[in-house]
Amino acid sequence: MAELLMTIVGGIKIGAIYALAAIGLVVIHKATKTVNFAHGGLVMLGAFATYEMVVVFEWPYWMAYIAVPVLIGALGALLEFVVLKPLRRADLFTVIIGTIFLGTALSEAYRLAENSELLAVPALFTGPPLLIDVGSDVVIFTREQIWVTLGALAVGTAGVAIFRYSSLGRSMRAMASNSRGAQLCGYSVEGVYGIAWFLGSALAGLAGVFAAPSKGVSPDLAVSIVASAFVAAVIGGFDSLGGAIVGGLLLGCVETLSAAYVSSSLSMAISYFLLFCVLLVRPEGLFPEAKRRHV
Amino acid sequence: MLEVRGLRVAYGSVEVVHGLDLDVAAGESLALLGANGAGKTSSVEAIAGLLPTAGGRVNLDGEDVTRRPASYIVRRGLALVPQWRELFANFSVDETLRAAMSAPRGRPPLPLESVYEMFPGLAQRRAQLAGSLSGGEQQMLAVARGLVTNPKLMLLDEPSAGLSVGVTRSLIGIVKRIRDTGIGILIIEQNLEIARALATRCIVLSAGRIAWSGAMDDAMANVEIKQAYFS
Repeated sequence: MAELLMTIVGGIKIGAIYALAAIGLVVIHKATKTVNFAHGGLVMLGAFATYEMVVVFEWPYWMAYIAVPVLIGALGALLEFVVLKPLRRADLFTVIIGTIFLGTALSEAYRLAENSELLAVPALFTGPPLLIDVGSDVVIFTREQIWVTLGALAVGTAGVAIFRYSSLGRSMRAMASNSRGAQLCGYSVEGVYGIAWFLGSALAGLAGVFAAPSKGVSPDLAVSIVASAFVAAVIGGFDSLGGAIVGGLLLGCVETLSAAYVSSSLSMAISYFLLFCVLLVRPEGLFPEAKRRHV
Repeated sequence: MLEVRGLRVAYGSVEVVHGLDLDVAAGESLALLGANGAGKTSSVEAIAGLLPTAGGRVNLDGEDVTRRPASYIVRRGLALVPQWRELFANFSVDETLRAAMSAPRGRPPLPLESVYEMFPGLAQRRAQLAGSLSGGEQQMLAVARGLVTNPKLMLLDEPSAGLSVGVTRSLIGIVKRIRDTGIGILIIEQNLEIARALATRCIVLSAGRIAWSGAMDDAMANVEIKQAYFS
């Protein structure tokens, strides 16, 4: 029982990171209709920037939680302006190839700089674990688990709240709903796309900060995180921010449970089987957005 | 207020508007008339920055806004109510108006309640999604969305298209009230009676060129014009 509970808590922790990355992916897609395959590269750069700040420059850890999302957010907005803006009138396939190119370029740039070395990042909290009695068993929670789970979910929820309830979020939703209508309200396409890419990329960077201690920093992080974030987003309905959170948590739990009770080498395969099953029953995901009507 | 000189609009190599000149002063209303395909919608969309211009100049309040994006021109005080309304289907009436109010601009938006006072039907449906409104209510919302931005000039592209007689009558009353507040109106209409109710001057476009311009009453009395372009 205790082992099961600890496995689920571990799954929720990694799932919260997937959810954070998936929310960033969904924000960019909802506002700009771009499926960002470079998202994993931004997560990896977030983790790498954390390593540089915390390990190399020995800055206080909390600074990484502020500086990295700002840095990665600005990089995302810059990439949108430089690489994707010229592709704005191109077909969907060209834009997808553009983001795949961006993601590959980010990973390969890292590989060139660091020789694919796996860089270790220390945890923010290293104190003794918390012990909780559950019947005759004792469940062990590390402080890092609690911090990452609560921190990632809090930031993810804040991202969802910004998108749903703030005037900034309203501008992104308006642009997504009807680009011409949004321009006629006074919103500039460049401005709204820049904000959406900043917000989505900042969430990717923050996912990198949270993931760095448990996953380390390597080019493989880009692929593994973007694959999981996509699965989480698709399970959730791809355009649903709440669905991205549920999808991320579900995926994290399935991954860790299958690694613990079936086989660690099969955990990814089982995750994709979960995706397959969800799509088979609900092709539009668990939380599909209402179909839009053009008015 | 609005001064357009030699406006040309092209889709690729095909030019559809060949040198349009027009002026609209504050509180004045001008009708842009013509048959389908005359270039009316292309002209107003180019003036509003939704379509690129192939030549000519658009001045708004003395500022050259030619080739500026629509968002910039809207912020300078122009509101376009487009033919296809371009509403946000999944926004409520209230959220639609708030979206227009909270966009960045040089002048403050109108108070929401003053807009609802002008559109009592919308006030009763504040929480309803734009996509679920009737055609007439959607048209009212499109006009209200433009008005709440506190424009100096409104461009209305066939606002009565597809509306019932009763809704059209209400819409005419509202546009007159807007005009009487000092806002300039440029209206595209195919219905001459509606154009006469709203405008004092008109320009008749044919194949992208000005075929006739003058007082609205003279256009109505001109049998040749009526037969050539509105029969």
